[in-house]
Amino acid sequence: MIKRISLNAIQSLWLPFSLVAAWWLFSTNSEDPFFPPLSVIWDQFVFLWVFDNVPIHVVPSLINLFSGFSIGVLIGLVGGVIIGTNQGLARYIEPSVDFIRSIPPVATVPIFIMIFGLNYEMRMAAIAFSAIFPTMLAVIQGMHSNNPTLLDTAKVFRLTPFQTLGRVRIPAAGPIIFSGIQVSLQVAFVVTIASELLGSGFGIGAFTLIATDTFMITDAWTGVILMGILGYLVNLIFNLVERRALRWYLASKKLS
Amino acid sequence: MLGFMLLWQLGTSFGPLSGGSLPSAINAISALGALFVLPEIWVAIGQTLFIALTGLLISVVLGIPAGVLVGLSPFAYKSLKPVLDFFKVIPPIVIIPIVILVFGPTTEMGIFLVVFANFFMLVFQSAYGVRDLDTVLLDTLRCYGMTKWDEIWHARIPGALPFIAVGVRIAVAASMIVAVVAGLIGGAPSLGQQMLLYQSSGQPNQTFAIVIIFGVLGLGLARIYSRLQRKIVFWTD
Amino acid sequence: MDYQTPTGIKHVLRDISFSLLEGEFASIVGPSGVGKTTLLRLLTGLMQPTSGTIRINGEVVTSPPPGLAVVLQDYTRSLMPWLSVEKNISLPLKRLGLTKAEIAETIESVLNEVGLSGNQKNYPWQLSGGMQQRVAIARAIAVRPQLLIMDEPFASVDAQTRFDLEDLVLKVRDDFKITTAMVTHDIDEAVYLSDKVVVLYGSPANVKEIVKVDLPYPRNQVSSRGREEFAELRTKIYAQVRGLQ
Repeated sequence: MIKRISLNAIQSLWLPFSLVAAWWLFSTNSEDPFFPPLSVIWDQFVFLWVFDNVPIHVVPSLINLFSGFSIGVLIGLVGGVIIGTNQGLARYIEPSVDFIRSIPPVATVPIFIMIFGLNYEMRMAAIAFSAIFPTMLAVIQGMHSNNPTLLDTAKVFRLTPFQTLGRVRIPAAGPIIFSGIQVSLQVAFVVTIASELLGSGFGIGAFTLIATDTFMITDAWTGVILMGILGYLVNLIFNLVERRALRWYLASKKLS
Repeated sequence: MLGFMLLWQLGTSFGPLSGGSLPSAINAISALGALFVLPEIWVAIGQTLFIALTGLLISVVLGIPAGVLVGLSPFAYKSLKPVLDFFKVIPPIVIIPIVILVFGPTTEMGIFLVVFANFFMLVFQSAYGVRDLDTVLLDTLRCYGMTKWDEIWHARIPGALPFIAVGVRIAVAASMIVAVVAGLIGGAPSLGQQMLLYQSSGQPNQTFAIVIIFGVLGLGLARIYSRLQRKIVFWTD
Repeated sequence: MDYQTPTGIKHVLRDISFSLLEGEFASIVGPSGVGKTTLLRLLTGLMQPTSGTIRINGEVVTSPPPGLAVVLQDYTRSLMPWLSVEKNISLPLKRLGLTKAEIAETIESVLNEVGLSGNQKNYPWQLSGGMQQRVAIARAIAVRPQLLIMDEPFASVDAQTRFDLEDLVLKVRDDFKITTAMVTHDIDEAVYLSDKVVVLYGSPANVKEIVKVDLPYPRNQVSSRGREEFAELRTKIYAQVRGLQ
């Protein structure tokens, strides 16, 4: 058993480790200003981010991300449920929602800059706005995909509309809704960084921007790596939450 | 659709948004119309499409065959999966600072960004599709005497097409989005850069008009690809 | 043809031994989960026994032997949805070295045989369940197999279609005399179609009995099933499957 776990671990990890090691070796004597040695980057990374600058830059970024994301997802959920369960309303609103969804979220940031200026409100609005639509569309799709037999059964059991909604329709659409929320999370992450790169203030994106502007290349590299790691971690945590919430779905898939 | 526009117009004329910098519907639309007469807008649209489509093409040509090969080798798949998992989640905007330094605010930068965005995802999707072959089909073919090569050519690859198609659909949307990001934030010559120019020079109507153009372009590409997909993967729903 | 079958892994099967003569039709029945499918996988060479041997025409089977054809329960997954009916049938034919014209002819004749003439250009998912299974049967007979293996082929179609397909199998059997082994849950079906019924029972499973079915040919859904011997046979087999005898 332990043997199998370690064999699996080796198979999964040998390549990432080797790649990092190769990068380290190849860049050791690098004179290229744009590609400093990995060892130098690593030192700077530790110097900056473990853990002095975390509250200054990382925390604000993450707070923005999560608050904007939560607001957006909430609106998306409520709006999606309302639109998804109302045929008539859907016909009026869906085309517009579809269109807005096709707009690259990053492109909405200048609009928000125009409305709010370069400040905290702008970022919140931009992040929340972009997080609304993936979730909303997923909820609508989820409502549409509700199995009619399930709905009929709920009717026979004389469930109230609210019960049907909360206990039948929404859980049944769980997998679809969760994947929509995941997209919302990714979009919110991108917009968070974009809003910092375009605006000013604190945040990892802002830090990296200043670093590139002032040609502190190593610092910029640390910023980029940090953002990459954060992006990956945020996604990972989301996946864990999703796996827990959708236990029933994943188990049933395994059996089929 | 019309209703929404009405709401927008009302909101900006009388409501909380009036007096702010958000242009009213009429202003934005008329600005849109005015924009179309300008040659530089068409050039910018062309540049954006060029970045998006070139990047898309390169990532497809590189990513799908690579992914198929990876999927056919269990060892390669297991080894590469963690790397792919890591990179496919990183939004390309994250690497923009470095990429700008290396490439400068150029078209090449934009193309590189698009390829970066799509490559890992396409490799993963293709590999996954090739691996995920129905055991019932596999057993049947083996009983009828199919060789390994037959199995790959006749069963695994067609069977992987639905997955690959999904990957490409995502890539089409992402290419457009990343091309915009490359312009807006990276300064690559394109519509995105143009938009930033308008915004920073205080021309709200035009800025907004460009947002509309983005939406239209995105929708258009998606529709075109949908039709293409239906032709190629005709047996799926 | 001679089968002398084995103990499977995890002691699924033990001491299984029976033989199938050329042109015979044998059904394999038993309670759910007893190992019928495992036995089939051993017969087709997809799985290797942990002890014992399987022989076809005296040769030991270590991998799917030539001249094998299969019809499985889930036709939606054994026919390739991206190929038309004729391409699905021609795929196994390609390795037989026939000319293009011969292949086309074969396809036409087998489609005729199963009652689907003219459907060459259609796709499987355009056809009903029963028709798809007919395509699978057509594919099986197209290769003129030495051995036909069927795994609950009619379990996924409705009862009416089932009767039609059973009669199709009888007709095919009449016209081509293919040696066949079929796993089924339906005992009536087993008696109706077979020359002998192999009853598996126990854990690990072994051959409880091999029941000879002497009902006269040609068989008929109404008259054959109405005979006394039919009822006797099915009762006997059913009792064994349920462990009452």
